[in-house]
Amino acid sequence: MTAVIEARDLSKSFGAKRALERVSFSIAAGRIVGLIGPNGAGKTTALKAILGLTPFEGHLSVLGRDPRTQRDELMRDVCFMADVAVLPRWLRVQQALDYCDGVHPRFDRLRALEFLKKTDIQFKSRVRELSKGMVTQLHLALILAIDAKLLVLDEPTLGLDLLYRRQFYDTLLNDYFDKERTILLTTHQVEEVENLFTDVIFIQRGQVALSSSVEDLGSHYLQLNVSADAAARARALKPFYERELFGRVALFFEGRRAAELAPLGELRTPSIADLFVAKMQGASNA
Amino acid sequence: MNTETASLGTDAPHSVAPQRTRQTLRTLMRREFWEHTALWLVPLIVAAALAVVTMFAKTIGVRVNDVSIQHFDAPARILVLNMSQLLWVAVLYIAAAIVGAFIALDCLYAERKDRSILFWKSLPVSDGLTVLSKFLVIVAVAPLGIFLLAGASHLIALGIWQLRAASGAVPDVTTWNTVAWLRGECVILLCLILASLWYAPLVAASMLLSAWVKRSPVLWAILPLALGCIFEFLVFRTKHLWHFLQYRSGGIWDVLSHRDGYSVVNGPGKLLNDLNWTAAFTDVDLWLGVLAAAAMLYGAARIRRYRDDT
Repeated sequence: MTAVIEARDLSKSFGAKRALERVSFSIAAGRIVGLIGPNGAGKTTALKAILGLTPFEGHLSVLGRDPRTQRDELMRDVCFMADVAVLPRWLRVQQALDYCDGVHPRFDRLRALEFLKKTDIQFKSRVRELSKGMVTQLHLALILAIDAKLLVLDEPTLGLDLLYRRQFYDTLLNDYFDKERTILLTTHQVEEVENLFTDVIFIQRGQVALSSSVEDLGSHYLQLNVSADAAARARALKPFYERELFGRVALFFEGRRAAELAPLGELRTPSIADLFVAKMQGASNA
Repeated sequence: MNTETASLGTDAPHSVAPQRTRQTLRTLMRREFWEHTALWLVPLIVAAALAVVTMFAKTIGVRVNDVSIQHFDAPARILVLNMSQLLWVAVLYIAAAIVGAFIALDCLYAERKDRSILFWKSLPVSDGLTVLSKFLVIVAVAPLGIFLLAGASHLIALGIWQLRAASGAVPDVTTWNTVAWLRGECVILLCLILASLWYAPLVAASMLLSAWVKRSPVLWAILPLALGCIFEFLVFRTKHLWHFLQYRSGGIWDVLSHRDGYSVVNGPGKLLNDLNWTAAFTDVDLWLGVLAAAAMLYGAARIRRYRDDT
């Protein structure tokens, strides 16, 4: 497979604060990658570096190009959507289509129209007259119509209700994603989209805490649920994080074999959301 | 998921085809008119207001050398044609210039303020082309529009006046003369070109400021200059900054209207011959200003390069 994004020792400071500290990761083509981290962890800074929106130190190659020096060429193959509030409020729907058509060589107007027909959006409406959900639909219509190789989404469904959020990701999967395309996504609502991801990168305090494909997670991380009185035996195997829930204890292990843990209680592969909390909390407790 | 690194880009980086660049530039310029409706709406409203005045005015109270406009001789009646032509474009140009000044100060700031810069930057448009499009709209497209609008609305107003004069409602004060009118249009066009060149550094400086400041670009444009003038006067008892600002505001019109230190303006009918076009268009300060404008636009594009919504 070929890497769409290759970051080596990526660093970025804002004054004395290190937003990214020698971050390295690689993203292959045809993957849906979740970039997950707490607020202020450096997710958006990493995305902005990838999109050439901020200078940085280190090596970063996106679709074989350097975002610092080849941004204009790069953006022909990259699509980007920040949260919903970035479409200018004065813009009319018709103008948004005209604009994309005029500046993007790979914009397919008919495809955007096809998608918009399924919505209640009027062509003459201005963005400020649309609901938040409709603005997202409009932005999604523009993105779906662009034949890009990499789609970067930064909290794209922030502030939307559940119906719009579900519709957004369903459309993305059914109408957009294919093996040629790569999606890089940050979100706070990890539980809702974790089935979407093929890969995850956890980022904490400007550093990569975990980078793995979802299928590999199961072989590296295990969650053992035991009753409180059996927890002591399990703790001897050194979980990196544990939490109590309704009298039972969930212990998270890294690099342990299933055969070792299975006799002690109920064994399962942790969900991405649980693993994220475990990794973040585990690191803070360490 | 880690794998070998290779280029997935469509091709090696290559320059965008000129045709594509032209189409992008056209779209970017259209965008400015969508966003800043005042750019076309204000001149249209002013033109409409001028037409209304023409429709309802009862008379014109102009006297030259104690002769009322109603009693002007034949050459003077043609001068009225030229004078009204200049008046029309002056009123429209001032209205558009005020709008243009605010747009220049606001255009690269507003996109950060409403965070739409993240949308504009999500599309394959370079910062240079974006800045250039905004600049060209203010110094080239809008003045050209004003030229056409002033010409058309002046002719309409002239028609209205003549119809009213024919019915005796207002005095008949002018005589149509195609050559004189065309000469007037030439003067106006040359003046507009000269104005665009002379004011280009002002527009570019405003845009540079707009790209740079974190807030209140209008305040940034006025306050430091005002304070600078006051400071210079209080401390050094000189007015160099004030004189420089005055010069950059109207200096070229002095060059245009003088030859060998003497005024060359002998009335609106002879402007095309009388005005010192050669001195104006070969003025060193004019072209130094254009160079400074180019440098400031480059600076604005460089600043925008790493500007985002923060």
